[in-house]
Formats: sequence, structure tokens, C-alpha cells
Amino acid sequence: MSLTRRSVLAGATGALLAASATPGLAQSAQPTVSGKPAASGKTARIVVLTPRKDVGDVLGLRDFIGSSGLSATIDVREVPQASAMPSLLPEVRASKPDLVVTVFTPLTLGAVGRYDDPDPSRFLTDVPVVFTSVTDPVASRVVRSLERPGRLVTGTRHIAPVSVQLKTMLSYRRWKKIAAVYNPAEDNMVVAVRDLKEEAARQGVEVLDAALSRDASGAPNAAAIPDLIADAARAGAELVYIGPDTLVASNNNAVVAEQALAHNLATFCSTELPIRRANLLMGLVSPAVNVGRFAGLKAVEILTGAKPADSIPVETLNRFSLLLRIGAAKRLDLYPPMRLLNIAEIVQDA
Amino acid sequence: MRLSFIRRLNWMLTGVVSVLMLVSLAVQTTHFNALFRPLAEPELARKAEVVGSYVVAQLDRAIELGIGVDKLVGVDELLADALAANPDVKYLAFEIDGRLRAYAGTDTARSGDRLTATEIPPGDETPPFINTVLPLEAGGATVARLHVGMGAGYVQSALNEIVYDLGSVLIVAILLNVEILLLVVGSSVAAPLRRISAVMRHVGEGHLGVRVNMRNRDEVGELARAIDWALDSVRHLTDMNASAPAMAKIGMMQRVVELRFAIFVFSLAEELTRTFLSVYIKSLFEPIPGLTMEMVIGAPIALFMLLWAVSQPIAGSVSERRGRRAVFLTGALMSFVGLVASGLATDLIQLVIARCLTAVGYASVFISAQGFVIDATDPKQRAQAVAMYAGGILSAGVCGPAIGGVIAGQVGFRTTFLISAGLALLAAFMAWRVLPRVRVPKERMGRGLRLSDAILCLRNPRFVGLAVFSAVPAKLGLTALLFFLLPLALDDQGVSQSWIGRVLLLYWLLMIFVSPMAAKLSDRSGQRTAFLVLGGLLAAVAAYVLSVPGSLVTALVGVALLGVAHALLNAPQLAMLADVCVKERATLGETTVIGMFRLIERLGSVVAPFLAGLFLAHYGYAGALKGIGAVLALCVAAQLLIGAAFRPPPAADLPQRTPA
Repeated sequence: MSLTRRSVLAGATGALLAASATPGLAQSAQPTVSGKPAASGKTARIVVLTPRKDVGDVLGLRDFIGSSGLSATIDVREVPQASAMPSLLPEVRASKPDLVVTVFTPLTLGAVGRYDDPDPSRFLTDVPVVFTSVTDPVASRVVRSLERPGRLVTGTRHIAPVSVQLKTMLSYRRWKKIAAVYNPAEDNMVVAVRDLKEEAARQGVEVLDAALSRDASGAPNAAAIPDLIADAARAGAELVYIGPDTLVASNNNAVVAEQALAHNLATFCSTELPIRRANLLMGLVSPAVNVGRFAGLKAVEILTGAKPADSIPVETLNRFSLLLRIGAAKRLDLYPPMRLLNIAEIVQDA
Repeated sequence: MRLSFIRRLNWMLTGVVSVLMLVSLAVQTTHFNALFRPLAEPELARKAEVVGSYVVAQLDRAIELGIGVDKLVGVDELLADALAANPDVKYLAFEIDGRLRAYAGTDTARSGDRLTATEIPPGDETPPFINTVLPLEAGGATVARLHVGMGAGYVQSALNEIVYDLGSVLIVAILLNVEILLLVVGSSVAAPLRRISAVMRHVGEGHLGVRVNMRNRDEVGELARAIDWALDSVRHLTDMNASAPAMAKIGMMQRVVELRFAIFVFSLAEELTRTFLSVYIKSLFEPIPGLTMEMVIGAPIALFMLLWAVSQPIAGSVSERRGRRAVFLTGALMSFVGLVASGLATDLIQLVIARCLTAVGYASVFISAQGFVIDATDPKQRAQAVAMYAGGILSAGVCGPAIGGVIAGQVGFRTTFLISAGLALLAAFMAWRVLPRVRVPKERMGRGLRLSDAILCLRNPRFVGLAVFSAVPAKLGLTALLFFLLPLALDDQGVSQSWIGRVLLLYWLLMIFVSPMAAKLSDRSGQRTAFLVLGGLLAAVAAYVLSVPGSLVTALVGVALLGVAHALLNAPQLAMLADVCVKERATLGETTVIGMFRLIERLGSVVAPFLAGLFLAHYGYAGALKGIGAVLALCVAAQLLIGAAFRPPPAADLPQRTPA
């Protein structure tokens, strides 16, 4: 019997897709520093800045640091809007943390600023910062390069390479036209959609730019999402793509899902939360808990002094999970091909 | 040296052995059919079930998720994946209510959306497929079926494979039989008897001092001792030592027979690696900037041939000064080391060095053995003795690839090299026992090849025509087609090592059987040129046939043609050489002219891998084979042109016809 699961996996999308979101770090790097006290010999103090306390990144981070044996206190602060950052930072600085962890791109930028514009009065520059789930830290100017961040900032990314994302979408069906619904005010989304367009052009797929419009004050208008999706359907789009977008994917995933289903459109997302929460069709994701654990590893490496913070590379987990929601497939009457089904984790309707 | 006794014995024993082996082959085949098939078929069905259940499990999961059985997407790909992973499965079919919804595999098992493999063919033929059905259930009812088809011919083809292997082994066994007979009967019966005859003849001439002096502990030895005792008891008048030199000569014949076996074993070492050498080189390939892969993998073979050609005259002259035995043993040990190193090589550079060492070893062994045979024989017997010695090399050519292919298929390339090395060592051991320590008396020594000799020969355009445009292309064709391109091309098509071995075997078989016939015919007709042209053209045609895309059939036909072609060339080339080089033979001597001819001929083997590699890089396998064919054809044309331009001068003793 020579048919192996591996051959099915390799044949399916070419990317290594993990069949399920198994707990534990997918990366081979395991903590090498368990049981050691922080370099200073005392209990390390970690401050976590996150939009919500219950995101998987924070759970994974807590879990990893807890099991690493490092003696540390973890102070999680909810910062719903990046705009609240400037007023919060003096207080964070005053608490003299040994390490700060930031979740997602907006809060990370709010905490450390751009590498080419480091202003010690406005940003944290003297505390090591580990970020988690930042889409594209180089394009967002968080670090100069992934291999050598060049400052006391490092962390983890959570998005599969755009070519792998597109390959996954196309292995469901050979879509001709994909609509990208995103918030143009988020820098990382502008980069993500640009990359998607380039890759899609190579594959002969058209990408419809469905950026949210802005209201009079210049703020993006989330209420326009239903209209955007209706327009996309009329323009002949077959699939709605949502990226690592705070406004669209994190805060309005249910709207996107219901509107897409109403117009008989398939949906794809590149982060875990939306497909777990809403009625989306598929997602290729790094499970947030694992991304958080990976960030925890980097935090432990810095706190134990195992590696200098400015030389720890920014990394992505190299395994992704394909999530499929069969309920959505049924409503669309658009079932996944057997090869995808074999490697996917099935998300059941709540 | 005539071996009429051996020949008779050989025919009888070979006949008996062949009949016995054929009978056992037939018995085994029928037994396989009767015993093996009933065991194999349920085994196949079980395998079908395993493959099928794996696919069914995946389909079941989809159905459990609530996907309707008629809504499943991408089942074709799923089946294709399973089929690709299980090459002995002939088809996988997903059927709902008698109609195929997805299918992967051979087209002969279906017609449109209907599976025809399950239908019983007209007449009472056995169905070509063993069909296994696995049901898919939903809600307790069977909603669809998966059919897994195994080829019923699978058992048959596995059986055929065994029969072919046994057939190859049969041929090899017959040849081995001949070798062993030659060794045993030749060295312990025929040669001693000849020695006794010679002694008696001397006695008849009145030299009562001669003795047989044999220590064989068998009946022949007893006879010899009885004769010696008889001679001892006759009062003799003659000096005891008067006929000693003649006796030394007679003793040598026994050793020639024994040496043939050593040479056979030694050649076998090289021939074992024949089928896979080029494939092995390819597996060690690493890119070298500026050179194509084909050129690089040609290099070890070309260097091997070059070193062989260059070191042969050198080793020849060393062996004349230091003794044949020393050079033979050194050469065999070098080959041993070279073969071990070839088997252990981890990159191409190491392999090239190992092959170079082996080449020098081969050259030393063959030239010193040939030298020994020439030393040990009178001019009268020499041709036959050399032919016998060469026969050992030829039968190794037949046995080697056939056994080598089977061995390599079983234990891998590297181990086969080590086995070869063992054979080389064995040959060294035999030579150590057989070859005399004594040096040949000075006056018997021939002279080595000199540059001035080469110039003298090359001034003769007819010699050039023969050597460069007939002998060189023959070697070029052999090396480029048979040793280099064909094994690579067949391996590329997925042909097994055993089959490559069988294909190569055919060449040598035809050489063995057609060569003597061609020699007789060409002698009788006196039409040397016609034979050379026909052989050359046939070789070109063979290259063309080999290039025709197809299965083993074209390869077999092409190789057979090449064998016949070279068999046609073999004897006429030497005869022609004698005709063409009358003057050179007079000044340089027969041996030197032939040595020169052989040296030039080898250049063909040196050029071949490079030329073939170059063609391969640019035109692919078919193109390269055709290209070699074109080169061979051009050489025939050149040969004809030279032949026409430089007609032999009319013999002086013929009366010139003057116009009336």
C-alpha cells in the first residue's frame, strides 16, 4: 500500500497545509530555555497590548510562557483603538516592563512607530517589543528586514504567502474574478491587496478592488460593506476575499458572510477568527494560538538573554490550516473537491 | 591448438545440460501457472480491496459531512491520485446506478460511462481484469460503488519475467559450461595428452632423454609416469638435455588453457557493470559550469577508453621487460581497487579517478595476457591460441550483462561493483597460480610500438581507409550505441536492468554465432570490401532502428542488427589489413601492424562517449542515436571513396594486357 497521506497533501495545493489546528508549536524550534529565571534574576514583567483579551494570540502566548518555566508576570491591557496608544504609552513606560507584546499591525505600529521615524518621546524604543500576527512588518515599516530587524523589535506573522492563498482558492474552483473587500486605511491591507492582484494577474485571474469608501471625516465606512458586495456580485465576481483586516475581517465578518451568501458568492479569509465566527466558506490560516505560542518563544529567548532582541528574525509558521465550513458550501451548493476536503479541517455550524 | 576432444565432450554435455534446463524451465513454468496463480489472484483482490477502502474512506467522510453522493467534486482527481500511487491497479471507477461518475485508468475497461470490465468477454476467454467492488453507503442504503480493477495479466507478466530471467541464465549457464570444460578438460586431459604425444614423437626421433615429467594425480598422470618409467628403463645414448627447450614450450600450452579461464573471469568483472554504468554515472552527476550534463556523463566512459588505449602499448612494453606475470597481477589489483572505489564513489570526480585506475588495470591485464599467449605459442598455433584467448573475452561479454543486469536489479549498482571487484581479485589469484615466474628469453621478445611505425602505416592511404573509416566507426558504434546511449535511453523509458542486460546479451550472442560464418563466407568469396561496406551500412541502419521510438522490440531489432553488422566486419577487417599492408608487414612485422591497427581502432571508443554526449545534449535520445547512425554512414562513404581513389596497384607478376 503505497498511497500515503503525504502524497495527497503534496498533490493538493503544493503548500504544506496542516490538516487540523493541533495544539503545540508546529515549528521545530522548541523552547531551549525552560526553567531558567530571567536574565536579571528576578521575575520578568511582560505587558501585552491587544485589541481584545480573548484573541488566540494572547492565549497562546500565556500558555507558552507559562509552560516555559520562566518566572514572569503578564499584564494584559485591552486597547480597542490604536488611536488610544499615545495616551497609554507613558503609563506603560512608567510601569517599567522587561518586555512588551503587541497584537496585530495597528497596535504594533502605535507602540513602536516606524523604523525610519523612531521618536523616543512618542514610541517605545528602550524596551524589547515582540509583536504577533503582523501581516507584513517590512511593508508596514515596523522592521527594516525580516532576517535582521535592526532594532529591539521582533515577532511573528500569521498570513500564508499570497501565492499559497491564491493557489488554495483556485484549487476549490477555477475562479475567474475575485473581489477583495478591504479597508484602505489599513496600510497592511493595501499591501496585501496589491500583492494579491500581482499574483492573480500571473494566474490569469481578475481581482476586483472593492475598497471601503470613506465618509466626510475621512474614516472608512463599514456600513457600505453590503453595497460593495452587491456591486461585486453584479460585476461578475464569484468569490469575496477578505485579508488580515481589522475593520472588515475582525469586526464585520458576519456582515460579509451573510451578504456574500445572499448573493451566492463564495468567501475566503486569511485569518482564523472570521471563519470560526461567521458563515464564511474557507480560510487558509495560521491558528492564532500557535502564532501566539511562537511569539512566546521569541519573548522567552529575549528575557533569558539566549539571543539579543535585535537579531531574532521575524518569522511565519510554515504550516497553515485549511478551514472549510460545509454549512456555507451547502447553502451555496458549491462543494469542495475531494482533494481539499481530505486535508481540510471542517468547521461545523454553531 | 585444436581441441577436438574437448569439442566433442562439450557438445555432448552442453546438449544434455541444455535439454535438462529447458525441461526444468518448462516444468517450472507450468507449475508456476498451476500453483502460483491460484495463490496470486486472491492476493491481488486483497490488494484491490486495500486500495479501494482507502478511497472509500475519503468518500465516506464527505458523505458523512452531508455532501450528497451526486454532489461530490473532484472524485476524478482522487481516483487518479490513488491510481498513480498504485501502478499495478489498472482502473478505479466510481459508479452510481450503473453509470460511471468518475474514472481513472485504462480506457479498455470502459465504454463511455459504462464499465465494461465486469462483462464476460465473448467466448470462454478469461476476463482481462479482476474487478473488486466496494459499496458506499448513506443512511443504510448503498448509494454508489467503487470498482477497483487489477490486471489479470499481472500474474502472467510476472511469470514471463521469471521465464525470461531463467532463459538468460540458461544461455549464461551453457557458456559457463564451455568455460569450465575448457579449463578442466583442456588443462588436465587434452594438454597433458598432447604433451605425451610430443614426448613420444621426440622419442621416435631418437631423443631418448626426454621425459613427460608430469605430476598430475589422475589417470593421465599415471600414463605419463608409466611412460617416463618405460623410458628410464631403456638404455639411452643421447644427451638428456638435448630437447629441453622444446619441452618448455609444450608445458606452456596447458597454461594458456588455464589463463583463458582467468581472462574470462576478469572480463566478467568489467561486463557485469555494462548495463548500468552510464545510468550510475548519471546518478552521481553534479552540474559543472559550462558543460552540459550529457557531456559530463560521457566523460568517465571516454576517459576510461582513452586511458585504456594509451596505457595498452605502455603496459605491453613494460610486460616485455618486467615479465607478463608481474604486469598481469599489478593490473588485476589496480582493477580491483578501481572497482571497489567505483562502487564506493560519492561524487563524479571520485568515480572518474576510480574508472581511470580500472582502465589502466584492464589494459595491463589484457595486453600481458595476450603477450603471454603469443610468447607461449609457435607461430603455427598462435592464431588459434589467440582466438581461444579472445573467446574467453567474448563469452564474458555474453554472460556479463545478462548476469550483471539481474544482480544490479537485485542488490543495486554499488554492490554489483563490489562483486566485480571480487571477480577481478579472483582472476588475479588464478593468474598468480598459472602464469610462470620465468621470463621469456630475450630473442623471443617483440618490439614495442614506435611513433615512426605509426607514421609508416599512416602513409598508406588504404590502411587509413580501413583503420579510420571502418575499424574506428565499428568501435565508435559499439561504445556510443551499446555502452552509452542505449542503457541510458532504456533506463529513461523505465526498462528494468534485467531487460537491458538481455538486450545487450543479444549483441554478443550474434557476434559469437555470426562471426565464424561471416569469416568463412568472406574467405570463400574474397569480397572483403563488400563485407566491410555491408557491415558498416548495417551498423548505421541499426542506429536508425534504435532511434525509432517504440518498445523493447525496436531496441532488440537494433541491437541484433548491430551484432550482425559487427560480426560481418570482424574477420574481413583483419584479412583486409593483411592485403593492404603487405609492405608494412614486411618491414615492421605482423604483430606491430596489428597492434597499430588495434590502437587506432580504440580511438573510436574514446571519441564515442563525447560525440554521443554532444548529440544527446542537443537532440535528445532519438536524435543522438540517429546522429551516430549518420556518422557511421558517412564513414562508409569515406571508406568507399578512399578505396576508389587508391586502387591496389596491379600485381607485378600478372601479365600486362596490352592493346592489340
